[in-house]
Amino acid sequence: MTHTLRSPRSAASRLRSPQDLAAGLLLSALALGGLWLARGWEAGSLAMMQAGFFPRLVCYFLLAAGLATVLRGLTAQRTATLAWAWRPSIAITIAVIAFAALLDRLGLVLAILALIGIGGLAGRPLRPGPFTALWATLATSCIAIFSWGLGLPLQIWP
Amino acid sequence: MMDILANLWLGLGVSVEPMNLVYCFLGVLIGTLIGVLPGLGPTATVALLLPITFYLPPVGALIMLAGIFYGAQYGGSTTAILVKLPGESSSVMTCLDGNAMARQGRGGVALATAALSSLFAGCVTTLVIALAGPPLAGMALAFGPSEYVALMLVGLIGAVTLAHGSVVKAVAMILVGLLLSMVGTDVNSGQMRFTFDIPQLYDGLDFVPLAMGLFGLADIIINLEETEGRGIDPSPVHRLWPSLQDFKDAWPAAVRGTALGALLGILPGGGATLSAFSSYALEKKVARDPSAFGKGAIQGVAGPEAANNAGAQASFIPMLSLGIPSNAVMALMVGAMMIHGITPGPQIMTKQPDLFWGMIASMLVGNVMLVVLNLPLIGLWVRLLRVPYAYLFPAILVFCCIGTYSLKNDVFDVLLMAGFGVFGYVLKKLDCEPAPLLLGFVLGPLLEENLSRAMLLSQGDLTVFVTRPISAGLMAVAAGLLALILLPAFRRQREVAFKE
Repeated sequence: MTHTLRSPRSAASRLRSPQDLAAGLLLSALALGGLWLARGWEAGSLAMMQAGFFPRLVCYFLLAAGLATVLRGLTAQRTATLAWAWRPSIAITIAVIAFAALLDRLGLVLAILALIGIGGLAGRPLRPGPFTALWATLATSCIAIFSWGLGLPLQIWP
Repeated sequence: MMDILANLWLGLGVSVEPMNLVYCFLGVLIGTLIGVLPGLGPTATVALLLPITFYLPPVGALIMLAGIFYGAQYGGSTTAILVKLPGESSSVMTCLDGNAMARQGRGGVALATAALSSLFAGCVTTLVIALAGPPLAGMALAFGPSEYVALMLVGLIGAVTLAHGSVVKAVAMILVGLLLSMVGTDVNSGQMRFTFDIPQLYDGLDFVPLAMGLFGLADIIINLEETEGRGIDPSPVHRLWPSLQDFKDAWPAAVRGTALGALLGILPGGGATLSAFSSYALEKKVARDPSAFGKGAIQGVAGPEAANNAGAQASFIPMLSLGIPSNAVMALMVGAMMIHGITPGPQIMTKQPDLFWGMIASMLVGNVMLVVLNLPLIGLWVRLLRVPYAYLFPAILVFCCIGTYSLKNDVFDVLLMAGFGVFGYVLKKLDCEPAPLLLGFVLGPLLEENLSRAMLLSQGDLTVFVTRPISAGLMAVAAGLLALILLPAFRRQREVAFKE
């Protein structure tokens, strides 16, 4: 796991703000993607707007904002490096996907096991004893609240 | 004036009947307990609990539903403060400073401030409804499409001031929110937009997976990253109750928030949300030290909390006096009234005064009950903050997932939430803030609809926005706000340029 560090300003690094550059590129990409997806939708006119009008309007503005941010990224006087916390981001995402995949197949109790088991890897995993206690507590309270209390059609066991 | 007092007296008489008090209490209690669960905002809670009110007499049923609504609203603020999970768009702003306060060991103060501001706003707004309900509802009718467009521009430009960093990025975030709001079937043409042929997207994106991903999941990742996997330390609780200084700081914000909420809440659409956002923006503008916002400023809790409660309550005005539901919860209330054979509309006040005034008076009773119920609970909630993060974050994960799933009983929403979690983390890494995005997302459909309607009516003439008086006034406010935002930004850049 890494921190976002302020690196000492070096004359060699021309790229002053990778954050702004990356943000600008992402925003521009979103805008261009939106425009591409909206290519076939009729725009109509100002007086008779069709489905394609508002998306295009928003995308053009977004593109402008994206390009302005790219420009700032190339010229701004801020030095910071981009870091990415792989372990928590991947563990949390996979844990949620696993929950979604298992809920309808194996039921709530096992889906929660997968969710907190994989999700726990994002931080420092609990020892088996406390982990089991947490699993039992969460599973029981979810069943009590959502299944019995609110009457949601939840599959509990496989 | 005397009539109104007499009417309120009649209403109070109805609402303090023992059975009605019981319904009110049960509604507030159940509403709070369900509303505290992440993902279950007021709309979901009222929808889930609607069936249990079928068996009650009409007045009791409506009083209970109103109680559920306040309870859920306040319960949502509790989760927002404690674990930074907004269950509903109007509590997004409470997250920012409320959660920052909780992390400084001032969680109890934040919860008490939220409760007391809500109580104040609730009581004042009830009186406003009683005094000026029908004329105010008339004001909502004076709003045509161009006025709505102008109002939403004010709100969206105001949202830019919420962000700490770059103005351009905040604008871009609003635009991304607008883009996300277009996902689904276009109401006018039936054109599928950004649906990628996925049937679950035909009805558009839901607020809950979006907010849970951007705030809940992304926040867990960030917390674990910043502490190298240990998780944030539970901060010692310094004090549970607000000090005299806290009161002094908070009350002007609560008064301003109430005024904003009572005015904007009447308007259909994002009334409560827009008022909470505007109140936060206003507080940040008038504050002596705007840099304290986002780091635990008590005004950032008091203002938006008062505003969203006043807004939520004011949304009863068009529902009761015109029969027009201004948001999803009010639509459910209208549904409940129909089931009991009551048609909401102007005639309800004269034909069924006990019902109309009973409900209004029960708002007062409900707000008081809410505070009486919740103040003792604060100690309990704050204890939740002491749970070590290694236990807390898996629990948050579980409740996020199951709360999102419970919306439609569809795992697709859970997957969406996972995607938005990563997106939220990316945004954080790139110094982009998610709050303006959510406002854009909430206001998007209204903005598009009203823009196209305004242009249709004026036959493409853009000058309608400045020739109609209300819209011209709002446009002037928007332009003023824009100038206020841009001027300091320019100044700062020049200062930076001079330093180099």
